[in-house]
Amino acid sequence: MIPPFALARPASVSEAIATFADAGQDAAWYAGGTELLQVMKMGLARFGTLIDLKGLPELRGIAVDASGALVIGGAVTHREIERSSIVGRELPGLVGLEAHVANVRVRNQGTIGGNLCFAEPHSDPATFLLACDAHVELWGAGGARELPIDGFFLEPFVTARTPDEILLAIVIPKAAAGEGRAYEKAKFRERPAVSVAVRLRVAGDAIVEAVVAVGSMTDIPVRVPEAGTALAGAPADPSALGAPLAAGAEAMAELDAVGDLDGSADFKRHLAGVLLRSATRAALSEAIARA
Amino acid sequence: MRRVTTRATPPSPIGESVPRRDGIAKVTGAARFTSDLSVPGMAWAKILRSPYPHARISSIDTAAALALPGVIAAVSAADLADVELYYGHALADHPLIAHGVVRYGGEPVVGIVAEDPATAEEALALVSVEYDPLPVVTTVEAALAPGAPILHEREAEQRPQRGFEEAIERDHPNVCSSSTQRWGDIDAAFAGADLVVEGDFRYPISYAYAMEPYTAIAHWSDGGLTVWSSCQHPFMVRDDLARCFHLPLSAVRVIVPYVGGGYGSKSYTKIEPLTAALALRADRPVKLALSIEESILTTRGDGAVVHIASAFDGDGRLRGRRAEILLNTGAYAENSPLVGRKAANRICGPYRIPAVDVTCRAIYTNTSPASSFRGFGAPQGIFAGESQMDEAAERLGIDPLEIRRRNVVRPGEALWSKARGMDADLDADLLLAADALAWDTPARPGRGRAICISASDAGSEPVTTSLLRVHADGSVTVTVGSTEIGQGSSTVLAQIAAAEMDLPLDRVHLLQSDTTAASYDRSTGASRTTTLVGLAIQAAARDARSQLLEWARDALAGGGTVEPAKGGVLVAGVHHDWGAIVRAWFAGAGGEVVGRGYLRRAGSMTAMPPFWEIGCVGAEVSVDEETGQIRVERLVTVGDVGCAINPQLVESQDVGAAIMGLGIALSEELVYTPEGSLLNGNLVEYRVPRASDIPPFTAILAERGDGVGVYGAKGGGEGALNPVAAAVANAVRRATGIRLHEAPFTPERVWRALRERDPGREGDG
Repeated sequence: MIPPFALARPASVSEAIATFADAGQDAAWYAGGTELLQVMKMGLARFGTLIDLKGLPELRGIAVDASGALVIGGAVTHREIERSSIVGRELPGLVGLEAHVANVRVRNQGTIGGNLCFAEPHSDPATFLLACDAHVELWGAGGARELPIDGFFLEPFVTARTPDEILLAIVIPKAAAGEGRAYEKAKFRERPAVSVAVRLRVAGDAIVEAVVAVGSMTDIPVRVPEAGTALAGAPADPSALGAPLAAGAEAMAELDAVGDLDGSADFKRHLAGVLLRSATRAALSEAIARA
Repeated sequence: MRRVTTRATPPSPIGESVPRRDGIAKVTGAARFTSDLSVPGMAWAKILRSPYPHARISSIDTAAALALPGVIAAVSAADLADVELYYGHALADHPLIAHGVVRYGGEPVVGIVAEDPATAEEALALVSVEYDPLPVVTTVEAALAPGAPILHEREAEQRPQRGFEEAIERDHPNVCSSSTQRWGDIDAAFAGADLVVEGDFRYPISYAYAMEPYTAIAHWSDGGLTVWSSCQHPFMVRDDLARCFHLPLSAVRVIVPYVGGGYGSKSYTKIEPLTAALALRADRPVKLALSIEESILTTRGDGAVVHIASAFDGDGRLRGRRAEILLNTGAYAENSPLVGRKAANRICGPYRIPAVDVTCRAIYTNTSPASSFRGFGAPQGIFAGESQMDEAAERLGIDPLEIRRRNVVRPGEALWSKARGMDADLDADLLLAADALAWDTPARPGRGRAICISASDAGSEPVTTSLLRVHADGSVTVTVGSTEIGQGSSTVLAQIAAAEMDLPLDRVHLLQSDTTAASYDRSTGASRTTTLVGLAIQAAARDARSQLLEWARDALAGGGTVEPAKGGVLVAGVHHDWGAIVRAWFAGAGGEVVGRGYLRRAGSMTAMPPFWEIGCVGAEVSVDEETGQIRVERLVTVGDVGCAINPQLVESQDVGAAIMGLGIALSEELVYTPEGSLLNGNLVEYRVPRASDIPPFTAILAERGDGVGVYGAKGGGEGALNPVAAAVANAVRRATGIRLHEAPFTPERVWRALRERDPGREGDG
């Protein structure tokens, strides 16, 4: 059972930061609780105060900023993203991803900011956002700062965020002309067994740039530059990707995969190759449509 | 649901899908489960569990926990010298709290009683226990290897309620029990065979997930003990409590409120002795409510390693079957001796086999104790046996349906000597499943189909009683000892009583599962309730009616003639209902008649088993060869139940059982490391099927009136689980050419088998 704790419900980010400063090391941000309350129930973490971020206006909402980037508040739930017409227009791959995070109860309660800050190695959004070149906006006692998501995840359950910092928003750059972004996963339980995200850009008849990220396979979601390199320069034709995809799959197979209940490292490397194919084809199809 | 009926038409409301009586209370939240109850003065318990899978306890210090305000008692085995610590209805090998040694990770070591659950939980962290770790075995192979650590040094008492006649055989200290099934000349059967198929199969350690975790409240008062518990077998629990606390049976009252699912996991005694011991030391009523994670550590299903060989004639007829089954039984016997007995019987399948030589040994390991699990020893062996039927069919060039039709016993034919003759038409069942799968038309490319069948010697021991009281207004109260665990017995048994007394259903009420207020029933398991308790109610109704006839003659007809009539009697052409007879006999406004029903091993219940429970399942599957994921495209069940008292409830049981079987076929497995750590003891990582996992489903009920129960009924509810893993494996074989030997058929296992099929195969680009 969950040990007793105080629940603070600040009205603004500055009040939240002041509350955190008062509570010191004994406080944790509470942004949905689908992971936090579980670890507290299991006795793996104990906090005297939970500071509820769900109602903070600064962390709510989904918008497109002046640069055309998609900005998603840290306390926006998976379900809200899944049902957002803005996200559907700007980043359809994220809608598809969110529609299959865990189960509907988790999606209804869990938030994107909570998901990223918890840094569970099997996170769906983390892998996709890594390929999308997103960055996160943080605000803490020392002020505001921005971090690219590549580098935000340090190790399982550890991020570059300091404990006093709140993840205000996730910012995803607008897709360039001819750019497609897709996410594919193999899922046998609540979390993905392996997931692969691909962002690629098409110009003329060729793929001119590709970024590949893989999740649930290594300690933290990672980019696989060699897989991206293998795809760059390939023809923008889904039926002509055999050799580049095989080279990409080989790059995935070099990763330091970690076996778990969903499968051994070998099996995960195999799945990563399978998912690279489907994610590349999906990204290519979106890219051609945007070209 | 499709019903195929050749039986006689029974009286109303038999055969009608009346709404379940507990339905509204359950869906509106009005139903009170054990965890909803409280007793004045009640305190709360939490359990400190062993972090080691095998260790000696060198010291326990509870002083700091006791010093915490709100803590009432801290209890370990040392505090229970006046209690018989070891219980078990088969082998009394299970201490209600660890006694010097822990034998599995999660075993209760200290119980804390406090004013509230949070304080009790907090106090757990203040208890200090020192352990000396011992070597660990988690697999049957390791437990039988030379030099393996011995789990039980002390010889456990054999108990009479084990469910079979012979003594428990133990040929190795880590063998909990050993059962055999032998007949015919096995060597000659194999020597003269045209085909022998032989192989090894593995069945997982699984968890019979029920939504309600184990919960009990114990209250000592007036020299006796009352326990409210989420248990299936209150009378068995009563017997264990009486023995542990040196009480007469009449001083122990076990009451079962609403129960949130059992599936075998709540059969026999679980946390009741521990809760009662804590209440005794705390001198307060105590509630112990486990979490699901703790429930997973409390009992689970037996895993199995099966080596099996089957000998066939060239025309596909079985000549002989040899099998060695090793059950991973965990740290304590619980009900595994009976599971082992049944596994040895059931691996023979529903087939005519001239020679059989089967041994099943239940093996102690340092894992949580295994006990009953829906299907009960059948699915472990049926997976192996039914896989071999398809393998033989393939090698002999015979259709898999046809090879089964050639081998199933005919109605009335006994599977082994002295057994009850087959009370089912297995050939007809196979044809129903085949028809639902369109067996005669080829499957679409990439798909495979299979039909598998099993027969279980079900019903347990025919020991049950019922009282049926007809009140002065003619309404009826029926008492039975069997438990409503969600299967629908409170509805079905009321339907039987209403039919037997010619009354509308709303004039009948039931009192169930209270060892003092209700009448005796051995157990709620082995699919026995409709059949056996139904017969006891019928006997009680007949007894009541016969008394009522006599009373009518006496009080209404002046000793003259009375004519039985619907819901009462006719005296000189005037109808008198049951209530009028009662009132007249007592010469007033009150009174009641008490009808008694006894069921024992006599008459129609002489031959064992009481009935055969049939599992007949068809499956159609496809396989994603890239990810190894199996997709079940259609599942078919044939519920051969004689007479469906409430068809909708039977259908629910068959669908539920088949989906539970599908869980084990595809995903469910408790994974232990060799060091004894359980890796997935929670519902996030132990994957139970969801509503969204239910495939397109065809449920067929075959009602031929051939059961021993009322109106030709016989038991259901477990059978449909038993052949599912085999049906999926055989269908996968037909879809892909791979043969799966280890359940669950996880994507990785399927992928590895596909790689073996196609050496050197890599991605298709």
